[in-house]
Amino acid sequence: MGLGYSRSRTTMGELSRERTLTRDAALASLRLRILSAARRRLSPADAEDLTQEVLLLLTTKYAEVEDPAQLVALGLGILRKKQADLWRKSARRGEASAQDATEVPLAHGGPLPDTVAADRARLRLFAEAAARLEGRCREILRRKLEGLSFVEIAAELGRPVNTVYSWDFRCHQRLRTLLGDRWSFVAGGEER
Amino acid sequence: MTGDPKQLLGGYATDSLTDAERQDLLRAALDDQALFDTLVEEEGLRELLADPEARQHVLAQLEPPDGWERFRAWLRRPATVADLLTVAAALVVAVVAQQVYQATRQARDLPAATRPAPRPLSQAHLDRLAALPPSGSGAELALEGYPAGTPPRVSPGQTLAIRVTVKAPARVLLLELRPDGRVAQAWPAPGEAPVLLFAPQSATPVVQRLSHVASSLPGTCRLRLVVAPTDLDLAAASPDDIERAAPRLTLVDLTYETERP
Repeated sequence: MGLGYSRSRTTMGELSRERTLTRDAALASLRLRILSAARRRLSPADAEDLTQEVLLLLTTKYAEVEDPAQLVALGLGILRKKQADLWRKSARRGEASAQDATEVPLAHGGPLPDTVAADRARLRLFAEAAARLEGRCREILRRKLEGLSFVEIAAELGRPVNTVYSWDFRCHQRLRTLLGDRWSFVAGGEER
Repeated sequence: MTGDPKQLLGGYATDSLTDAERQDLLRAALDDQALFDTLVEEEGLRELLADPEARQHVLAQLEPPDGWERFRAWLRRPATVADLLTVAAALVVAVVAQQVYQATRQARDLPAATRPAPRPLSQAHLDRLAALPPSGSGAELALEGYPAGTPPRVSPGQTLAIRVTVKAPARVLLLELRPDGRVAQAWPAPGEAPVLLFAPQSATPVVQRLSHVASSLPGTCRLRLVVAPTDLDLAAASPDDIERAAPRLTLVDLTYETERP
């Protein structure tokens, strides 16, 4: 592990200082990851802005979160939402400089119609690909969607959990292969 | 816990990971840009599947198929198509083989009257057959009323009772080499085709009794029994081909002495 997140400290002062260092180190590393991921989809300027917005939220709204894993999870969620907002704004002529449409509540308070439509399309594509899975891939996905953990699935199938990890990894790759070019859209990317 | 956090990716979007697995995956993503990029994509799917209704929709697609759907899916498999083609090819081969077998069997079981009539042998054929050395086994030639061993002495023109034993089916004829060196067909009558012998049951030898008038010339006579397989038409072969057909023939000799009158 490049940065290390040791918790073997004895005094409260040392522990507090270590936590701060750990959080700072995690945020620094997370910034690099987010910036790099954003640059794959956005212009350098937009990617930089997006990264700053994510980090700003992490350092203000979620200032009490110290666990690196939780920071990553939050970073992923915020990045995804900010990215979707950016795409949506850029898709509407003139709205990029106007008031953020996502901040304007609709009369019924629900999600935007285009978001609903896109989510329906994503779900339909994903369900169609899932229906084409066969054998154990189909069984594992069904159990995962029913809420079972890998350990529970392994117990049901009578196989070691490491075997189920390997199977599921290959099945997930298979699912992505079945989706092909549509995977990016299903995973929340822009519709092409 | 898996040694490779990447293997946990499939459980991220479906929220199938335990806290420890999730921590392991997310911490690994902090040091691995490719894994982080993949998780950014998986995050979109995770949000999609976080809706219980969406999960139910996908689950409905994954319900175990009923019998008819399973059959249709089985038919669509490439392996099934290959299997069916193999079975079809095997059936065609079996049908063709059966028809060939039936045709062969019918030809073999044709009664003698419906077989193409064998042609009589020419004198040249007879001479060539008489010149071949004795060969083969499974056929016997005997003079009834005389002990085996020393050549029996008979009177000129005496009627001899001859017993022929062969493993049928076969085409059979009897030659006589007379004291003057001439070769004649003793049985069936000169100018007739070799006799086709059938066995009443398989593996049962056929015993054929016939009479023959001994030569009127004094001296040593030799009777030669020629046994040919049913599919060998000696008359159709040229005299030169007789020698090539010799390994398929059974040739049995019997000698007798004709006394001076």
